[in-house]
Amino acid sequence: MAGIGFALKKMFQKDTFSNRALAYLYSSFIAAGPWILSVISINFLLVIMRIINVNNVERNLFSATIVYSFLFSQLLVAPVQLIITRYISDQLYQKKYDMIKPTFLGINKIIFFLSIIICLAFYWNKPLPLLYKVLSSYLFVIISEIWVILIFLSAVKNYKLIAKAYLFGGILTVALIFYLVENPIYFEQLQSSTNFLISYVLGVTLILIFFLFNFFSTFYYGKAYKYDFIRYFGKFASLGLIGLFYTSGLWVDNVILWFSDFQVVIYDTFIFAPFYDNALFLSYLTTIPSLVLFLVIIETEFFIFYKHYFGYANSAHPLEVIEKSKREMRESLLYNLTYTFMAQLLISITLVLLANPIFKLLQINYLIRDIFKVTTIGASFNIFTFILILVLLYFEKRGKALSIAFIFFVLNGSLTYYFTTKPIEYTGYGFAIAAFISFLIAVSFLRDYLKNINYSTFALQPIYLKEKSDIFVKFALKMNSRVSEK
Amino acid sequence: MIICMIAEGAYPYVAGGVSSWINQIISSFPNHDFKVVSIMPSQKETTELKYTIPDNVVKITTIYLDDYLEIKHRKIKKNPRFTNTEKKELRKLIRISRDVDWQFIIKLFDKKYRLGSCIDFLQSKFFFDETVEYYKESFKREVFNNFFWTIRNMLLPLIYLIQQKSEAADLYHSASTGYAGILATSFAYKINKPFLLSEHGIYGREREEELLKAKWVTGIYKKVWIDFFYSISAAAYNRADVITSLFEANRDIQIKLGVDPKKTAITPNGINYDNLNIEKKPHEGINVASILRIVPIKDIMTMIRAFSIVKSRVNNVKFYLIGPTEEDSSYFQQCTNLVKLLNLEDCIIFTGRVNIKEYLGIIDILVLTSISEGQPLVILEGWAAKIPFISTDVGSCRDLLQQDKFENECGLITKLASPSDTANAILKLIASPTLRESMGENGLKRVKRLYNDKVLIASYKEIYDKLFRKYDN
Repeated sequence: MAGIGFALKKMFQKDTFSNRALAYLYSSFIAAGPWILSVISINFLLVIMRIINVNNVERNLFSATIVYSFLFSQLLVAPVQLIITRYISDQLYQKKYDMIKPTFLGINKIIFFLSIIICLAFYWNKPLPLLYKVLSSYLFVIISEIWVILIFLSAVKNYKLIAKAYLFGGILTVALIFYLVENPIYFEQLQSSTNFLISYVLGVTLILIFFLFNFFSTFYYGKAYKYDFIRYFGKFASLGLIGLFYTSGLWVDNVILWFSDFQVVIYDTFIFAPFYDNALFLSYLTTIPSLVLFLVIIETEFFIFYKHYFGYANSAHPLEVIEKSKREMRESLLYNLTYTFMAQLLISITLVLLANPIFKLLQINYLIRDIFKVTTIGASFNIFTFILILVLLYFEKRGKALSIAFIFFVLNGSLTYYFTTKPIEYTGYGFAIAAFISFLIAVSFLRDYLKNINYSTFALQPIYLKEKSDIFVKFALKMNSRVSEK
Repeated sequence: MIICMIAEGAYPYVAGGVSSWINQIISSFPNHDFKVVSIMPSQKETTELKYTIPDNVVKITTIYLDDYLEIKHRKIKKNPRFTNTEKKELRKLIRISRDVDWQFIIKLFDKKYRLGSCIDFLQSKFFFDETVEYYKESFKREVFNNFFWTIRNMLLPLIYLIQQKSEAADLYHSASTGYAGILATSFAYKINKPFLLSEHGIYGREREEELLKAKWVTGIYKKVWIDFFYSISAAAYNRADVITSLFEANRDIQIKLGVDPKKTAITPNGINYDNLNIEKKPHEGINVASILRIVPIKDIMTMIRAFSIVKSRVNNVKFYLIGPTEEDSSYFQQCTNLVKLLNLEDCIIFTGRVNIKEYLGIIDILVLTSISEGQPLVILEGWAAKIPFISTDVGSCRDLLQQDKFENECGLITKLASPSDTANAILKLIASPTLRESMGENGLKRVKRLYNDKVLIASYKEIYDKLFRKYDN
């Protein structure tokens, strides 16, 4: 008899939502660590330099060296950060623990070579002593490697170790500085800043050694498929672009101001705008409370509802049950976001109102204070945009998250540029307005998504799963086969 | 003229009654060109040709039901705007109700620039909201995920088929309703050419029987799927200009399912009996045989058990199972295991695919124990070689075998799935050479009178010509 009958059977498989959503969060928060640390440590070291009367030029040179190392290494790693986070969380989810070490070695190699090339290109024709160049390059490479390994360590959530590493690294740097202030190593040029840089570099090296030791004692096995993760560059290109645009967005206003009237150039090497840069750093420090608060809330409350909803949606439950868990999740999320946002706004407004006495007390330049007032409001909106991007990533709305990151980048660039043509009182307005608009867009994206979340969950999942074979997959295969031939 | 012949799970990749019939029709109309559209369930299926393709086949198009895997995911058009009428009709489609206006639906989905591909539609907000609506109306207590995917899986190949680019032809001839029927319906609406539907079995009924037994679909979804197949069958019944069946009983079912009696016609199978008029070859003992594909629907387990009973009573007997074994290899494995278990290895022979002419001369009795049949060609072929037939009471087998105004009985009818009944019939024929002979003679007479290919071809020639004329004006 004719008829296809039931060769049809069940053609499709359900997609499973994993706990991977949290991974983005940890990775992002842990990445904030080095920044906080660098801002604090630079300021601390600058105070010491001032006390022992190091001249202004060397002080600026030292702080510029460190800021540049942090900034450009972060820009280098940002595009891969979320992709690698996703890749290793997928591997861990599938219990493929032996993929972790090779992946680390693979990505490390790539970042290592790229960072060396960047250093060579940057320092090649700069009028600095060779030793100083070598030390700065070394610092840049080490910090790049720290960014990379932090992605891996955040997956295992060993906060204690990370904190310990920072502590010991910090202690080493400070101890060395105290020693070297008394017994400086002699250099023909730039004696103080080179001594400081040596201390700093050794402290950071110790941090990396801690991290490496911990990493290799956790993931000591696995050899093959070093470059398997490259597949994800095609599949999750949006994650890379989110990292790239968001991080570039964070810095584009600084870079624009480096080329404005605020510009300061040191040794024809480092261009920066200390007034603006410092104001912004301080503003970002004010957002730490809401980041921490949000991390706690997400882990303790929201994530439970999140798991309920997707768990119900993907298993045998009637729509009524799913609808109920959807309402719970939505309410929890909206309540907590509002709560965190209000708390952050309260902190920011208080600091803005108290800025005059505080800055007077700390004897910081009034220009920095005035910029700080504007950028602090901007930073609170920006950190919320960032939080909303993370929330959208939980829901696998990578496209929306990317649009927000991109919009923020473009707005911050164009508005900051626009305001450089205005009187000096408007400094920081570009950033603040860009952050505010991006925040509103992010809110509306999230609202739309939550409104149609059932539609998204059920109807927008791919009807069939098929591994794309794009250029990245081919590249990964080729790289892997080269490795196994060896 | 160009005739587009549409079949699913059959010609030219799967051997069987329908496929042979298609091959026969095509070869018998050398002055028409044929385009063959073969719908296969999945790309995993082999596409080895099981027939020598006649010269007048100008094109073979194979459509895999899972071809939608190849559709590029463009940006999803989430919310195509539909008019109120369109919404009303789409709602009926999602509910698979019997009164879907298929012409409207086919024309609507043809506008790909508006709706996009089947995947676009099934990912659209409209589809989701309407499915939720349907769910809330009648399936509230069911698991939503299963419900949603059932509706989606059902509509996916369907919409994929009706969005196929039309094959230009002067007539669409489909060998069944179902997917083949809906594709032919879609072509016929789009090109506005005649549609001839030739049903061998009753597709809706067959799917219903299968589904009731199927394990992969449970509870309420059995009914949903059954309704679906009846509904798409109704589309073909409605659009077809002429609907043929093999025998009266099937025509009655078609009419019960809503076919306009004026459109129906009965066209029994027909064979070239001269070809098969094979000299009996003298041989020792009795040879009992069955010409079939080794597949579950033929209920070969019952046949082997019947053989075992026969063997226990009569010594000098051999059993031949003649036909391809590779279609369902696990079932074939089960059959050979049973043969071993019953210690029948020396007397049951699986020949595999052979030329049946080489065997017809030495066969004394032919048997079928199928649980479902239409009008088996093998009965007709057996008669052409004057072999008496034993068959279960399925399809038109009773009508074929029993006595009528012109001839006496041409074989024996047995109960379904009853080894003892089949064994008794075999034993009865073994015991009486004269009965065998007279039944064989009667069979030959009947084939010559009713089931010969000249009658078959003449009736199709008449239908074709009538339809060409009808659409000429």
